[in-house]
Amino acid sequence: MPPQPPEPMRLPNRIPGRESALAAVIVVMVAALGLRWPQFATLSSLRDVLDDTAILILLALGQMLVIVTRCIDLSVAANVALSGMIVAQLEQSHPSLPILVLMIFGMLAGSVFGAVNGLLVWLVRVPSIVATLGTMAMFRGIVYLISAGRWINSDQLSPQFQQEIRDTWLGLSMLSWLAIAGVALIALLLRYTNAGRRLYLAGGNPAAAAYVGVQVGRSQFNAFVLCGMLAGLCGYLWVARFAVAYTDIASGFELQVIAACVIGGVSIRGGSGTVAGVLLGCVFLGIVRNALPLVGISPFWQMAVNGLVIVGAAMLNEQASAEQPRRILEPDAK
Amino acid sequence: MREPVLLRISGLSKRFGAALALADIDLELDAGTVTALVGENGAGKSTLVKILSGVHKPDSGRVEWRGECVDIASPMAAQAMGISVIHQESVVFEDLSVAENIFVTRRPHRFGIIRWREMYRLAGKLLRQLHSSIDPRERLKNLSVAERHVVQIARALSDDARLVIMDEPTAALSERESAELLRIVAQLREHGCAVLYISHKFAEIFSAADRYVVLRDGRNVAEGPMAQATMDTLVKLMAGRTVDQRYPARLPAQPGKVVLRVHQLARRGEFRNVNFELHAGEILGLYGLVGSGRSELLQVLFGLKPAADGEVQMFGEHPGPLTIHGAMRAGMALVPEDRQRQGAHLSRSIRDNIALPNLPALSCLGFARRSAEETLAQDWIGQLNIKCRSSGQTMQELSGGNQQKIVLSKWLAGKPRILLLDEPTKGIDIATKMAVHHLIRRLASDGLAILMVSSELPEVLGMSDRVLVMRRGLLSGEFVPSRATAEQVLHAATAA
Repeated sequence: MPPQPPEPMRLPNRIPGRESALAAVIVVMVAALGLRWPQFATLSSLRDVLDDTAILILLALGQMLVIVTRCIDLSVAANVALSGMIVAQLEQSHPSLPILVLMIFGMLAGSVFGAVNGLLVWLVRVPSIVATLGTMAMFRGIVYLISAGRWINSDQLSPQFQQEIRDTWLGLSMLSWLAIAGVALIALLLRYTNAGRRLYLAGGNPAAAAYVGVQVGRSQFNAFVLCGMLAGLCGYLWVARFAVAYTDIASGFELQVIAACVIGGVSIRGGSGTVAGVLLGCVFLGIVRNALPLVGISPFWQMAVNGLVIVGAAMLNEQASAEQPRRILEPDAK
Repeated sequence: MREPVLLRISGLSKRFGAALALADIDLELDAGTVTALVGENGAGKSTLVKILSGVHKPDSGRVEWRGECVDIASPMAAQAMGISVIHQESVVFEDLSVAENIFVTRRPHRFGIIRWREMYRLAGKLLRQLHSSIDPRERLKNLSVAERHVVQIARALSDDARLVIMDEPTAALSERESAELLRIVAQLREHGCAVLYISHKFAEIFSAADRYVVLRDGRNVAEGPMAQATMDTLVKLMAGRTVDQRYPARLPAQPGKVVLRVHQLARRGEFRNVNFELHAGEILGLYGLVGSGRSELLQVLFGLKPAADGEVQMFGEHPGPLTIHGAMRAGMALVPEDRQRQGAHLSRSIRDNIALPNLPALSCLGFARRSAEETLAQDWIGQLNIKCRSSGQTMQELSGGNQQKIVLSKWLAGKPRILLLDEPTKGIDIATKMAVHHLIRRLASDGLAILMVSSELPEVLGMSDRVLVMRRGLLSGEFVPSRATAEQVLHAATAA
C-alpha cells in the first residue's frame, strides 16, 4: 500500500462554544458581585434570581423555537396578557376550579393565539415580523375589550390561586419547578425528536429542507403553536405571581425575550440555537437586573445595559459567520 | 436473464419559454458504470440533472427506471427511487453535525427518541467505508468543500442510492482532493451504483468514466465507450455546433487608445497574474467556464470586491483603490450576470430603473425631476425598441429580453467609456439577442471600450475583436477570432 499523504491541518474540534463562554462570564459576574456584596452570592438570593427569571426562561424557550425556524414572534408578551386575562376572568367567575385546570386552560388559549400566527405565516405566507406585529396589537386590543379596560386585582382573585405557585418543594418554588420542567421538555423535543430536528432543518436551509421532505411552513406553524402554548402558561403564571391582570401587563417584555435568545447565541437567521444558550442568556439578564441596584446603578439604566449587551452579542454572531472567498485557484499554483 | 437497464430515457424534451433546453434526448445508464456527461456551458447538462432529480418536469419523453415507466415528480420522489445528486452548491445544513447531515431523512430512533450514539456510530462506519477521517460530530460549516462532497456521498450511500449524479464535483477542489474524490467514485462503481459524472476536466473524465455522452445545444450528439475516445474527439463533438445565428459584421479593426490597463491583478483564492489592455472601440471577449474566475475579475474591476494585489490604470491614470464610485466617476459601467437579482429592481417601473444610476444628472438640488426621468426613459425605450405599455410599467411584467435592454439602457444613459458586460445575452430570446449584439457592435464602433464575459463560445467568437480565455483563475490564452477555431479556445479553457 502506498504511504498515506499527511492529514491536512485541522482546527481543534471543539472550539469553546458560545455557551461555555457565557457560562464563564456569568460565574465571574456572580463571583465578583459576591466578593463585594456577599449577600448577593447567597443561596436564597440566587434562588430569587431563578424565581424572577422563570417566566423569562419559559418565554425565551418558546421564542427560540420560532427563531430557529427563521421566524420571529413579536406577539408573545401580548399573548401573555390575553391568556392571563382569560385565566383571571375564569378564576374570578369559577373560584372553585382547580389550579391545574386553569393552567391547562391558559396553555390552550395561548396555543390558539400562537396558531393564528402560525397559520398567517404558513398558509397566508405573511412574513412573521409583520404578522406578529399585527397580532401583537390585536391581542392587546382583545384584552381591553374583554376586560372593558378594568383591572382584576388581588382582592378579586382567590388566595390559593395566588399562593400555589409560591409553594416550595425541595427549596424551590413551583414557579421555578415549572421553568425547570419547561427547559427539560423543550431540550428533549429539540434534541431527541424528529419534529424538533425538523425545526433546525427548516430554519437552517429551507431549500435543502424541502429536498429532504420537510414542510417548512408546517414546521414554522408548529413552532408558533408551542411558543403560544408557553406564552399561555406564562399568562397564568404572571397573573398569579403579580396578582393583577390588566391590558398592559408584560408590556414590552417581548424585547427582553428576544434579547435573551440573541445573547444566548440563537442565530436570528435561523437554524441554530440551544436550550443551554437560551437558559444562560436569561440568567445573564436576570443577574444584570438584580445586580444593577446593588452596584448602585439606577434601574432606569437597565434598558441601555440590555441594549449594549444585545449589540455586543449580535457583533459576536456576525463575526462567526463571515463570508469566505470562493476557492478557484489551485493553492499550489506558481 | 440480463438485468434491465437501470435508467433509460427516450425522447426527452424541455423548453424554457422560447429557449429549447433539451431536445429529444436518449440516454441509458447501467448499474456499476460511470458515465461522463460532457458539453459546453448551456448545452443542457444542468437541465438534464434537474429533470432526473425531480426539480424540473420534462415537456415530453419517457423515463424508465429499472424497467418501469416512472414520473419523477419531486426531489423526494427521486430520492425515494434511489437517485442522489451531489450538488455543486451545498444542499446541506451548515449548523448541524456531519452525522445528522448524513442521516437527515432517516435518523435512527427507538420509540420516537433519536439515538445519537447510534447515529454517530453508523456515520463513522459509513465514513470509514469511504476511507475518510471526518469526525461525525463535527459541524458541517467547519468542513472543506471536498469534505462536504464526501458527506453528501455518505448520505447517498445511507439512502441506498442506485444512481449518483455528480455535477462538477471537483470544480472547487485541489488536485489532491480531486484524486481522493475520484477514488470514491470508483468505490461507488464497485458498490454497484450507476454514476453520472459531469465535469469539464478531461483528465478526470478519462480516468474515472467508462462511457461518455456528449450534449450540444440540448441534443445528445454522441456517446460511446471512453476507451475509444480521445480528448480531441470530445472537444470537437462539444464545440462543433451548427451555425444557427448570424453575428453583425465586424468592422475593420482600428483599435483606439488604451483606456484600461490591468497589471498583475490578483485576488486571494480567486485569480492572479491577470494582465491585459483594453482599447477604445474594441470588444474584448473573456471566455471561461463557470467558476473560472471571470465574473470575480469583473467585480474587482468595478470595485464590488477589493483586489488583493496588482494595479489598474484607466485612461492612463491610477485611480487608486478600486471602488464603485471611483469606477463610475471614471466612466465605467457593469451590466451584471444575474439580471433579476443584481441588474434590476423588478418591482419598480422602467423609468425608475433607468433613472437610478443617473440620478445626479437628473435631479436638481437633490430633488428628483420626474420630467427629466420620463424623457430619459422614453428616449431609451425608443432607441432600443423596448416593448412595453408605458414607462411606468414594472420590470417584472416584461420578458427577459426587454428587461435586459432596460438594464443596458440604465448604464448606457450615463455615457460610459468602458463597459463591462457579464453574460449580456443570458436567457433571452434569439431576436432580442441579435438586437443586443447589434447594439454592442454599434457602441464599439462609436468608440466605447467593451469587456464582454460570455459562456457561449459562438457569441464570444462572433462578437469579439480579441478573446481572452480564463481557466481556474489564470489567463490561459489569447486569440483573434478570425484566426482561431472554437476547439482551440475550448481547449485553452478546459485543458487540465
